[in-house]
Amino acid sequence: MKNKSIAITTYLLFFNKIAAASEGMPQLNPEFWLSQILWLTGIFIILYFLVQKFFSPKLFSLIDARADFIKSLLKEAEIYKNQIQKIDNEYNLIIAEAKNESKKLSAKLKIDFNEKTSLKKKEFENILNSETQKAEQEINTFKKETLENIQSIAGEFSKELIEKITGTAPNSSNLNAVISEISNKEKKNQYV
Amino acid sequence: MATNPMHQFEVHRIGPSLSINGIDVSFTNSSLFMLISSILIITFFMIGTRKVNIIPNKIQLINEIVFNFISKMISETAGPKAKPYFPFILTIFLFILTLNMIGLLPYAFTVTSQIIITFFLAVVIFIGVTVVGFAKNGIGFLKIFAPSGVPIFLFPIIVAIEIISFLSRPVSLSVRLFANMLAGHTMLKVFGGFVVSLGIIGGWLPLSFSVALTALEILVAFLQAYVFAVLSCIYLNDALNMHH
Repeated sequence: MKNKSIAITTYLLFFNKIAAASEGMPQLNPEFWLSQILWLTGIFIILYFLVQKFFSPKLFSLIDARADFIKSLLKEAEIYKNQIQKIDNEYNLIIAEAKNESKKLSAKLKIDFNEKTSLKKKEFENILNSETQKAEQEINTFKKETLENIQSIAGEFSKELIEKITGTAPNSSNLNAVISEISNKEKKNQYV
Repeated sequence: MATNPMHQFEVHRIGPSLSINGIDVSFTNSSLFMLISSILIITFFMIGTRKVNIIPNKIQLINEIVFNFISKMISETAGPKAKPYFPFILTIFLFILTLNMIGLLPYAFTVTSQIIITFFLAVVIFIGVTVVGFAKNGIGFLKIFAPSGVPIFLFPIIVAIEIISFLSRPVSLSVRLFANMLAGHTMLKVFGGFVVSLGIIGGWLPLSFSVALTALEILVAFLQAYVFAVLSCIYLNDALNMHH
């Protein structure tokens, strides 16, 4: 009884599907179901086998190798970065030292320059003073000589003039005494 | 005259009728497109992995993108324990994706629009996941039907719901893919029929719909392959990392 009911149900289901297929759903036609399942199984197993055995390990090993390569490059880059940092620090230290040195040197040069300049100034002032003194002495000498010359010229000129006016030559010593007295008076008037 | 949009889903024999021990193993159009799809996948991988370099060429790069995409998907949905199942998920994804995409070509046959194909794949995944679940957790895998923190009076109902939910996995997984492919291709065929029947004057509107639908179908083809693979991973996750 039970077997009979199962058989009827199966029959109805099967023929319902065939009926459905003939109505418009070819997918429900079980004619090629088994064939499709077998071909699907075969093709899928082959595909899966190829992917698992050949393609997948090849690409995975490559991806791993690339990751390792990138890791090693990053490590190398880190080392270079540290080296650069070290060199940069050293460079900064050298620059700072050089700046300090240059500051010290510039301060020292400034002091030296000031000292040398003041020394030169003093020397120059000394020279200038001595030269000025010399010049003053020369001027005084020249003045003195000029006055003496003026006195003798004035004596001679006065002698000639008196001789021409009076016709007699005056006494030279008296004339010189008068001229020196006048020139002394004039000197006094000039320096008062 | 418009042809029946369901005719495109008919399976017919190619070549002679073959049988082994009374079982029909004839080569059909469905088998042909499964074969073409697998050959395409194998060719894709063969070209991509022929000369592998640290700095990849274009085809190797596409290979790696597919690999990384699936690898990321598996690790996000099923965790690191699912890594050994990567080749299987990758094969499932690429196989369904290629079958869906090939089916979009004119005069091509959509293998994934056959319920027996999607159902068989779903059943294989279902059985596989159940076997893995019992192998990893022993009888403790049955805890998947008994969520923790459920009030005692609700327990029998929840267990019954969980069992039904678990058993309906192959049905939902297979019908989702099958129905999407069936609906999409039927729509394309119907709109294609409209273009022919309305002719050069009125056919532009259904033609533009057809173009838009084709774009949508390309998206659906990818999306359904992805959903199938993701759900397989989620089921695998249930077996590998018991939540309940």
